[in-house]
Amino acid sequence: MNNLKVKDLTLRVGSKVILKSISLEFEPSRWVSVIGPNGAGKTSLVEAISGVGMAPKETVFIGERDLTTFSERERATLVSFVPQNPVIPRGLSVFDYLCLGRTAYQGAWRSAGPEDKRITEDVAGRLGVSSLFERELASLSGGERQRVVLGRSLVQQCPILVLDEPTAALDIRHQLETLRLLRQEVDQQGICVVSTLHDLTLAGQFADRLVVLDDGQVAIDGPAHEVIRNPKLSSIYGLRLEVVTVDGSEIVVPAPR
Amino acid sequence: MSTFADRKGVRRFLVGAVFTLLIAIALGLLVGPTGISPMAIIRNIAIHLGLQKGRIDPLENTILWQIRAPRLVLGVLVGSMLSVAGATYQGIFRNPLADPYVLGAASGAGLGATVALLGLGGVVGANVNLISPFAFVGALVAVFATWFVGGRGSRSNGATLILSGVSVATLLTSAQTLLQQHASATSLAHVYIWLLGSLASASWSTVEGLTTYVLVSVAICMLVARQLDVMSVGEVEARTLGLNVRRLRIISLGAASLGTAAVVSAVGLIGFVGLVVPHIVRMAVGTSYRRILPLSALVGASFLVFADTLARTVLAPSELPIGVITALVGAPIFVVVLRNREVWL
Repeated sequence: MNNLKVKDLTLRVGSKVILKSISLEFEPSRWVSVIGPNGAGKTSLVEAISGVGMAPKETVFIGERDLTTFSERERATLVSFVPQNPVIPRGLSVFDYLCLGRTAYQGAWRSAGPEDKRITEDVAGRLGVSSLFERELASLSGGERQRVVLGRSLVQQCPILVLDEPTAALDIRHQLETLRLLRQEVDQQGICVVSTLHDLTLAGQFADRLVVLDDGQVAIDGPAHEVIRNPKLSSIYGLRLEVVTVDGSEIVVPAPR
Repeated sequence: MSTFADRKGVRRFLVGAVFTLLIAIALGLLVGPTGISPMAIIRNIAIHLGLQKGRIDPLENTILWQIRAPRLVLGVLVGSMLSVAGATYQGIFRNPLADPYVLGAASGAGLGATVALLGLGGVVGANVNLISPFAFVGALVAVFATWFVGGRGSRSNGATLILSGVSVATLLTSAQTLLQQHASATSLAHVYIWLLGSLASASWSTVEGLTTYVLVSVAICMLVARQLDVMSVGEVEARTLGLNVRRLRIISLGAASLGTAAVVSAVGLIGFVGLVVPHIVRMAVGTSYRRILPLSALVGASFLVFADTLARTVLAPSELPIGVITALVGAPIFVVVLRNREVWL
């Protein structure tokens, strides 16, 4: 019903074609990860579907409605977005930062009400950041910070959550922790997650479906465990990839020559 | 100093700011080339309020209520307007260097005033009465030009606006310099004095002309304070949170620029207030514009009233340009606060 649809999306910057006639559909309770080499257009794609990029009219739809026809406020109740490098304002407490996620539900003037606070506390509980409420955002560690940024996007209560490289700045433990939290949101809250991910192993383990972009086009699109075994993947990355199984988990590794 | 002040700290700052403003006003009423004792002032006020019977000294009365009082009110209006405008610009651009003149209002007003003072090659005759309206129009034209160049179109953002503000300002300043080439030394002195700013022209009619602009402009800036807080995460993320950044920019920049133009046209270019005051307030009470804007209005008002009292007493009976005082007093204060800062923007 509120499915996110991309129809024949072509994006040019100057004379350079960034995305070429991309058509995709995203469903609730599913996690789709966009993968591909650097410069394949991953970020442009997620920015376009989150509404912050410059998608042309009639290319991205929520339900049957063109995304460009929504007001900022309407859109912010349907799609939330976590950029690769979120701005971390100084002098702001974690709680106040989380409450920014309620902006679309508040008047221009009113500050957070009891309902906003309840939702914020609820999300913070799920992400385990309640104990950080009084801390200054800028003083948090990278892992804590990423959970709080994720929290702000969940406080928006959108059926669709778009993330650009949510684990880029994290060590391996915090990568796993962040991805587990996201998986939990997909399974328990039924949201639709669209993310870009660099790590093919993690993409294969956590996402339901992988969309592989190559040079602005969809090269492979399918269930995660199938896509990581697709021989085309090796040629896209320009090196031989193999899947090995360790204790039942599938690991994607570049094969030695 | 904590990074985000608690409620108690904010309340203490508020009480301090109100108290300081009252002292500034009392001092401004008391000090002047004609000595009027504090007792005489209290007696005059008491008689006006009907608390005491007696005869009012007409000379004292005129000096207090027709010369000093309007000047104090003007100082309050100008100080709070420049500080609120500066804070608003800093919030919209997320740039600590932004001040009320960032979009070119100062150079536009400067050019307008220069045209009024020197005339424009026979097209416009020199006319001192035109200084204020010309400066007002000049400031607004400059801001519109800046918006026209850097504020429209889907690719515009804070940076393009600031850059076009710099370009417009440079262009208008050189136009002004060009005009001054053939001016006499006397007219040049007039232009120079006007540019440095002064409250000496204060009268109730000046105050009356300015009040509406300042009230409306300050009110609008304060109404968007919460949206300025959302801007703290940057334009892109603010949009994903549901903020109409374009509309916010038009409303708040429009209001701040209108108020700035009105102030500049009334008192000339008074620098430093709009830059320094918001920073001092921010460092004391944290980064939320719901606190910064009202408190900047208070602190800015005190700062300007103090500065003006100094300007008219240091070399009494002649006056120093108030812009000199605001910079001379403001810069050292700013340096001290800056060195102790923990909060930036």
